[in-house]
Amino acid sequence: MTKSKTVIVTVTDAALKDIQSVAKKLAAKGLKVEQVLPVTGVITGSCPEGKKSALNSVEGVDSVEDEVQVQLPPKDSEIQ
Amino acid sequence: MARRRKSKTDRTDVTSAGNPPPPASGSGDGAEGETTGRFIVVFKDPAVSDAASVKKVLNKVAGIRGVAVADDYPESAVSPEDLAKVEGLYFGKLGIAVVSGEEEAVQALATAAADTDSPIMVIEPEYKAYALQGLTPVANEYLRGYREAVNHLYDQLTHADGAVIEEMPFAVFQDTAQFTWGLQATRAHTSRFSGQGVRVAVLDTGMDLRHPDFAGRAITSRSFILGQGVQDGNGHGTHCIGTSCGPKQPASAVRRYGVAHGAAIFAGKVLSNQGSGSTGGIVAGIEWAVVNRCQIVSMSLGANVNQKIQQYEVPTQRALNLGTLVIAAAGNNARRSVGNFGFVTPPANADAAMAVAALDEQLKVADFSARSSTVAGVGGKINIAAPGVRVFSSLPVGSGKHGTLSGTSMATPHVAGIAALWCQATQAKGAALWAKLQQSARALASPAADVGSGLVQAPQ
Repeated sequence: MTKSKTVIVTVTDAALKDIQSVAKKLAAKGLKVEQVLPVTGVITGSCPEGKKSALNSVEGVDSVEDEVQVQLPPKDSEIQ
Repeated sequence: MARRRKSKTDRTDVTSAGNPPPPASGSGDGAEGETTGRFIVVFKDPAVSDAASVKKVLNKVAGIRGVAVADDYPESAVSPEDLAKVEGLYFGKLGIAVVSGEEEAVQALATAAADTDSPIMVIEPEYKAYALQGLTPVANEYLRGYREAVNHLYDQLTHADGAVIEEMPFAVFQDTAQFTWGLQATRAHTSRFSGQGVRVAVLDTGMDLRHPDFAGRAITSRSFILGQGVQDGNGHGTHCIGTSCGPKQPASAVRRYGVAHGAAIFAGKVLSNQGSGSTGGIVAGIEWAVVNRCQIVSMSLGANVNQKIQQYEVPTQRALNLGTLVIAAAGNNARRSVGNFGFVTPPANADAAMAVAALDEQLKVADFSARSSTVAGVGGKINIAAPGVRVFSSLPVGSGKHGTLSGTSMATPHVAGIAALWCQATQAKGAALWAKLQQSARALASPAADVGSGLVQAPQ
C-alpha cells in the first residue's frame, strides 16, 4: 500500500460557498479529509500518492499540493 | 599672462553641466569670491600628464595657443615677462592650467568638461587670495570654536590610542534604560497610539500565559498542535508577542520592549514546543484569526521552499480581502558576508503577505536577512524592513523572563505592532493598511531588494 501524504487543497472563489460538497467529492476520490476551512477556502487531508492526481479533476478545486513543513532553528541558535 | 577682455554678458547662475560657474561679483577690496577674470582648468588624472597633450587639448577644444609650461622653467617658476605674454599656463605636477577668460574659449572648455571622455575634469573661475592680516576678536573666537569642533570630530573618529575607528556609521541606535533600540528606530516609543481596539494574532509557539508582564492583559489563545497546549515551551512565540504587543511599563521593571501595548492579543499555537509546524495547522490559525476579526496576523515562520505555493497564496489573499493583513518573516537563509543572499520563504513570499527584512542598529540589512528573488514570477520579494538584530523582549518565566534574539522573526512583530498603531490611528485595514505602512516607511540607502520600502515607522 502506498504511503499517505498530507495534501492541501484550495477551492475556487465560485466554490467557496459549497466547500462542504467539494470536500465530500474529494473524499469520494480517496482523500481522507482532516480539516475544512470555509473562510480561507482550504481543505486538508491525507491520501495515497497514487490517488492525488485524481483530486485535481474534482469540481471546485483550484489546486492540490503536498503540505510543506516549517521548522524553527534550535532554541539555542543565535538567529531565530 | 595677457588678459583678454571678457565679453559683458549677464551670466545667470546655472548648474547644468556644460556651463562654467559664474564668478561672484566682487568689489575689489578683498570681499569674498573676488575673481581675476582668468579660469582654472583641471585635468583628469592620469588622463593627461604630458605638456604636449595638454597644449593639444587646449588648442583643439578652445583655440588656446601660446601655453607656457611651468616645468620648462628653472624650479618650475614661470618668469614674470612670459606670464604677461602667454594665453595659458600649464602646471604639469598639479594637472591644472590657468587660461585667459575669452568667453567662447571658456564655454568650449566647460562643454568639454561635461563630456565623460574628455581629459578635462572641470573649469572654474580663478579667485583672488589675500594674506590673513591678523585675527580680529571675532575671527579669533570663530577659529577657537572651529578648533573645538574639529577636536571633537577627531575624538569621535578615533579610538583613545589614535587609531582610526573603521566605520563611522550614519545612524546608530542602542537600547536605553527606557526603550529597546527597535522602539526608538521605528519611533514607536513616541507614538501616542497603543493599538487600542485592534486585534493582533501572533501565530507561533504559543505564549507563556503566566508571564508577569502580561498579567491582566486581554489574551485569547488557541492551540492547533495535537497533544500540546498554548503554553509556550519554546520561547519564540513569547518573544514575538512581547515585541508586537508588550506592555508600556513592564511589571518586571525592565525597559519597554513592546509596540502595541493596548492591542488585544490572539496567541495561536501553530508551531510545537520543538518549533515544528505544517501548512495545515498554520492555515487553520489564519482562519481562526480572520473569523475572530483580527486585523493583523504576525507569522515569524517559513518553509524552506524557493517558490510561491498555492497553499499560502490563496489563504493570505482571502484574508487580505477580508481585512486581515498577514505579515511574515522574509527568512534567515542568507549569509551575505559570504555572498549568499538567500530567498524569501513561504508564506512571506505570497503576493498577499507582507515580507519583512531584518535591520541592525545601524539600519543596515542583517547578514542573514533574505533578499528578493530577481527571477521574475518565481520567488517572493521584500516589502518592508524592521529592527531584527539583538532584539530584547519577553521570554517564558522558566527561560529567564526576558532575553535578546536576532532574526527576521524579530523584525516581523515590530511591523505587526506598528500596523496595529496605524489601524487604530486611521481605521485602515487590509490592503489600505499595507499601503499606509509602505508610504510612511523611512527610506534607507539599501536597495529595495533588501529592505523594500524601508524602515517601518509608527504614527505619531
